[in-house]
Amino acid sequence: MQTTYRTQKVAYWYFAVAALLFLLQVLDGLVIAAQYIWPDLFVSFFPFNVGRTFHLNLLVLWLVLGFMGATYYVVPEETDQELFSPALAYVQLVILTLTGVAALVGFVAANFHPSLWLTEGREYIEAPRWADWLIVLGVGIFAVNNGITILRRRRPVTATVGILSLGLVGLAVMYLFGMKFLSNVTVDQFFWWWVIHLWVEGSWELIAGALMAFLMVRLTGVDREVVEKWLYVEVGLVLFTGLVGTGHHYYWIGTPRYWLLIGGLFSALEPVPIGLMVFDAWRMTRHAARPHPNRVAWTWAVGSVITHFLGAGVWGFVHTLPQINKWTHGTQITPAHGHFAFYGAYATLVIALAYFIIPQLKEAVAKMNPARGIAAFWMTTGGVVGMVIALTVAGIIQVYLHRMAGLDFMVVKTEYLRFWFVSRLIFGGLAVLGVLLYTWDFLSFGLGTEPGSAVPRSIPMTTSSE
Amino acid sequence: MSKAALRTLFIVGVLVFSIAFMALTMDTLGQVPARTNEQNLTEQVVAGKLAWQRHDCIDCHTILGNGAYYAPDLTKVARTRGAAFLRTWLKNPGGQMPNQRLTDQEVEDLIAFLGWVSEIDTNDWPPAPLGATPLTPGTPSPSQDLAAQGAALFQSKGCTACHGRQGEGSAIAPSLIGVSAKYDVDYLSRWLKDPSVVKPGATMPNLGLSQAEIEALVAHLQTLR
Repeated sequence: MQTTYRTQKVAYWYFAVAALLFLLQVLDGLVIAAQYIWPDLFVSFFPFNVGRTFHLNLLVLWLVLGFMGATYYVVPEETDQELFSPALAYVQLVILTLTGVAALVGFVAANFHPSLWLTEGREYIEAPRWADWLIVLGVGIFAVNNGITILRRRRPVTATVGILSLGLVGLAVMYLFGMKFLSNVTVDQFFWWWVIHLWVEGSWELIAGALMAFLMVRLTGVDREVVEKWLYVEVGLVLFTGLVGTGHHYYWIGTPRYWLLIGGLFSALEPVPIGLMVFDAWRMTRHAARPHPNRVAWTWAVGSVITHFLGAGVWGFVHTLPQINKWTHGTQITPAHGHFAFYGAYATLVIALAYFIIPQLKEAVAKMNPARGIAAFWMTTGGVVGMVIALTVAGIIQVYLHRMAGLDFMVVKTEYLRFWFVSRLIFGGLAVLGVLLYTWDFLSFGLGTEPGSAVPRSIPMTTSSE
Repeated sequence: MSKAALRTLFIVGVLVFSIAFMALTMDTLGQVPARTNEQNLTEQVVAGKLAWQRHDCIDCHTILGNGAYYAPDLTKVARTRGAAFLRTWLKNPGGQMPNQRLTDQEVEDLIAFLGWVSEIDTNDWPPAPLGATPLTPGTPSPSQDLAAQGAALFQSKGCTACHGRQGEGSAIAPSLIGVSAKYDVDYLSRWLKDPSVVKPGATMPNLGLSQAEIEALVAHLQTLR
């Protein structure tokens, strides 16, 4: 098992930058989780809204860079040739990373000099217009580089590459809907959801589905024909339910009442394809042609399938019906779902891909030390699940006391939710330790075992009972 | 089913549901102007929205329920608190909100923006608290005495925002501990009915309280010692 194409190596730097940004994202998360308890913390130079803007934008950036790195690894292999231009891939990475860093600096500066040149003030897509255009440029280079590679392929395009491409085109096109200033806040939020919802419950699911199919074929050796058939069924159902399912965001923003029926009906079906993915993974495990030596990638991949179902499927379903959403909308129930779903559907998948791809690139699968990567999985997942439970309980209390009994928002937040916000912070700390372990593992692994080098391996750590 | 058949089904299905979603989008965009009173979407409201974005308000607050969950939802704040309260608050916020150093123009623009937002037809969201029923005028709950009702109103009417959670006062409003020793019931009632009638230029806004609510609040104030 080794890497077939030299140009696949560009994936390494994408995953490396993604890992560091992920670490930054969760460290920032600790700060804003602490501000829920001590609101005066850093308030003069790094208030909550700046910290939260960091948290969201770092999330999007590291996940997208992870997707892109994986794509640069998958496309040569699936089309039997070298990448069109590795140089362009590095240029693109530099553009996107520098734009991201510049935008973050701008968010801090906006706190002192409020300006639309520094922040657009719209959650997830706060990046100002100049940054938007640089992002479009970076994504454009990415599309051209992979597009030319795919067009020059030597065999028919595989379903994996087809779905992956469709998802990546969707990711780029949907971003454009967030770039225009709209004066009517209802119309603004209507199209804002085209970016956010049609990313995470649309195009990103296509990308994730295709990358998971790639990973499953490689890890289990199950017949590609079977996996790709399921891929069409799963991503088909994701889009059939998810496109019109955008309606679960159109209950209360000034859009017509019929969305309560349509949005409720379609979004109630959204867990079905995610449930199928769990069944599919279980079936593939049973029919695995051979056990793959990369146990770490396997752990993260199976963990991804399960937490994706729980976070996006179950935690999404519980508050998607309008009768319930009327009370839970805008409460801590939403971030409980948000954290679990992003972690399960995307964060774990990108890390699984990193753990699969980087050892392949370094030709070091047999030399891997699985204890660290598996310990990182359990620590991070345990931390996230603990946070999600704390936020869920906080949300339920908030629904009863604030929404139903009518107590003031701030009274409920400061008097009744404090214990749960402290719990969230503690479990957040556990998750950060897991991410630190992953980052350390990634860096030491990537740096310590260059292909062909005779660097002796470190003694396996025993940080886990595994 | 063969892979080719599933691919065809995928493509046809995605097209069908995309077209359905586009049709719904067109219909929605046709209805939004009436539902949001677009005729009242003045230049000042737009300026207010720009100020809202420039100060990144949405990464602490929610509006129409979307945003961050760190600070209260502001969809109906112009109705529940009123312009006078917002003007005082935005110029010198209390509680956990940092001072945004807004210009007077920005304050007025934001008030216009929040006023327009509060009139959007949100399909009755946020829902009225269930607990509001026994507190409506003329229907005192037999299980709650007057002072307890007043204590609940003290929270729900937003008195805590300026006067502190226990009425202990803050940088922008005085302490209410012992206020009933200084002023009699009649004065407190008149003050709560409309502060600016008692004292022209008073900072405290008219909260639009009913007679029953005023009686309950005065009873609560008498317990603050």
